[in-house]
Amino acid sequence: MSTLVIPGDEITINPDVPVILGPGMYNDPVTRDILPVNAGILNTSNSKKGQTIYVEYDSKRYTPAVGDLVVGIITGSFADSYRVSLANFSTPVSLSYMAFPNASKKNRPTLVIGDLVYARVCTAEKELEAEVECVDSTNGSDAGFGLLDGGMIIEVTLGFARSLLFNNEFPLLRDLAQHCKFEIAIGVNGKIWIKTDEVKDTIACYRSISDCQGKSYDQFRDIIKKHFQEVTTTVEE
Amino acid sequence: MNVQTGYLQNVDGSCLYSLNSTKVISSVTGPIEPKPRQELPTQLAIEINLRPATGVPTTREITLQDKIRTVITPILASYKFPRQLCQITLQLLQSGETESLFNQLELAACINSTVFALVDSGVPLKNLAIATTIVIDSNNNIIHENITDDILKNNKSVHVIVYQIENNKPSNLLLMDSHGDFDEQDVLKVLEASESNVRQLNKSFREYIQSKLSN
Amino acid sequence: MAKDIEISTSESKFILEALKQNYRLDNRTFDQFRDVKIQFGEELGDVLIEMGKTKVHCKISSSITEPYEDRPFEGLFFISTESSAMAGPQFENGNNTGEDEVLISRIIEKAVRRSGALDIEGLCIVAGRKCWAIRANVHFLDCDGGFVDASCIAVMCALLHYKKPDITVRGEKIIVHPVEEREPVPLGILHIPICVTFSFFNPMDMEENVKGESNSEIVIIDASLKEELLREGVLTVTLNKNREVVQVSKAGGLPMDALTLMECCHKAYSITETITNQILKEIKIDNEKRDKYSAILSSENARETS
Repeated sequence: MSTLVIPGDEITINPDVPVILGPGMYNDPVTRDILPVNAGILNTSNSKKGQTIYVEYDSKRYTPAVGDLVVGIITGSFADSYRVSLANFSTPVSLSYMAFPNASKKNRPTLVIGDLVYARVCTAEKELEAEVECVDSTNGSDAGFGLLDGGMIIEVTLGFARSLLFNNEFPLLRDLAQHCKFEIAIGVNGKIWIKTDEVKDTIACYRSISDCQGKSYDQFRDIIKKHFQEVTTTVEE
Repeated sequence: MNVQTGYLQNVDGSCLYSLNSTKVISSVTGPIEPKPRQELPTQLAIEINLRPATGVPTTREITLQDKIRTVITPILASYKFPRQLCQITLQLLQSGETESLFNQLELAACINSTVFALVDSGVPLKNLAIATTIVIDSNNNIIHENITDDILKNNKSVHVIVYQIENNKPSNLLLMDSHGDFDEQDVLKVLEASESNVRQLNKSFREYIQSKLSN
Repeated sequence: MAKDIEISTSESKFILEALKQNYRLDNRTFDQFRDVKIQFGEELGDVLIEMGKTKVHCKISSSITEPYEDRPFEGLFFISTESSAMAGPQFENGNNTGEDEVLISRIIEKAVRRSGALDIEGLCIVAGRKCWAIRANVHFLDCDGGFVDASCIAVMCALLHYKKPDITVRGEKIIVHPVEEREPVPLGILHIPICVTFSFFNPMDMEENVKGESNSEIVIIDASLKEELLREGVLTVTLNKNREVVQVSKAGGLPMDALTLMECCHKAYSITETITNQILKEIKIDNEKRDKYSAILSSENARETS
């Protein structure tokens, strides 16, 4: 189903089933109307719990939501928490010293200002400061979270980051892997961290990922090929 | 109408809008962290800045800013982001009218451009708002399209009308800004003419978004 | 000053490391100036310059006013360069007291106005009584570095493109002829200054006042926004096609020696030459588009012009 919705459009909802509203949907506190508030593709799905409705739209500004995997920059440290920026100029979020594996009052994490971290959003109330954590709270393991050492950051649109992370059909990473080895951390806040063994490979990945935004799948291969060729020829010059 | 959204790179949403000889570019950033004095405890605060094509901003630009604000405030889903800020900046590139006498073409262009930039930025909107300019000339003809500076100079009255778009149709009147001599009959005629204009603009914008998404 | 863009340690380290290995993020060489795209608007003196993602718009306006008392034979010329949050939220609305903002407007002011690029004596109408006031309104639309270079090109293009209405003076009376009645007249441009900005990096973190063997500073032309955020020194050289150095501006940062400065000026000159030629060519094309009769009425012979 791909229907375009624009803010203010009416949406048919089955009144007998509970409704779960996702991103892009809004329940007006005054009129009690359920409205789309963003322009994009309407998605509805039915499950045992009820009908889920959300709007798939692309944007650049991230607002925290619980469960999101994000890449943030440490911008400050306080008595018991770090201050982390998820997007330039947005309200920063906090990362508690206790939200690390094996954390205790004495065992403090060693991050410094300017470091990159991979984390999960654990609380996001609109009235309060959002919080992120670097630990899987179910079993206390690091679960891949924590400091991202070295590497490079690529800023992309949020829609593109989501397709990279969630869409298994998305060919970009598979195509990149044919050219070099890399480590990657994708944040749905539109920040992608990538690390390879050599600067030229990272540069090629950086340019490829930036350029593939808004292009169709079948163009990816050529874009990547072009960028990898360019970095090798520059060296020879 | 000519629209290009996502024109700028450093802001969250932008729109280059032109209608006849009026050309304006708008940018939206938000929700971002506000300065303490801008913060509202329960809603998204709006900061609007309008800059003229030539010269420095004067009281004329402040009036326009306030009118844009009265239109934008009711359509934003502002309770979704308490204590946050939405920064809107408008830059006129070409006014298309004698700036010392009129501001109606600019006002309509600024409102439309702002709304489209808001859609582009992903700032939550409850509805769209679409503006249009109508002139009644000295022979009592209603002119609703291709308004030029000469037509404006020959006006008996000139009106800017903004409709709220609900479910793809114009519903509430958000703003009616009129200058000159007119009576009740004229107002009714103007409202009728503007509704069809707004419908047309809404249709073109929808087609634009559709074509943008399908790429 | 509004909040700054945050840049992580990994990112800055990587950009420096890449520079050391001769790479720039946008696939340019160190001495490569971005391609300049010039678009003219519907009106005269309305120009949009694009350099990569940087966009600067400039619009010229004119009015008739009284000259300054101490300069009765000169017209007035202003350049307004106010930044707004449109170029990026790092610029605050209505506050142009930040160091960068002030520097940008000072450099453009010096490059264009104080270098006498516009013939202001030609703006005089009646000595001591009436003169033209020309205003260049520079609007920064999108920032990806190189605002100084782009705005200088924008102002010069707009000045070259603009034409003021023709006037007749009869004693104390001035008649301004509308554009439909009489062909408007172009402004008197004496030379075309072009700014080229160099950015310096010191990846080895060694500073030397006298440059020796171990000097490993990196010099790049026309930095992008990220490179601008990380650079440790900046130099703007303004030149014109006649090989005249209009301005050398270096406000602090890494020390530099005479040889580097000479080298930079030479590099800047070749860029100046290409850009000047491009500007003149595009202005000519646009003028021809606007004036359908010029080709028929021209008395120019068909000849080779270099």
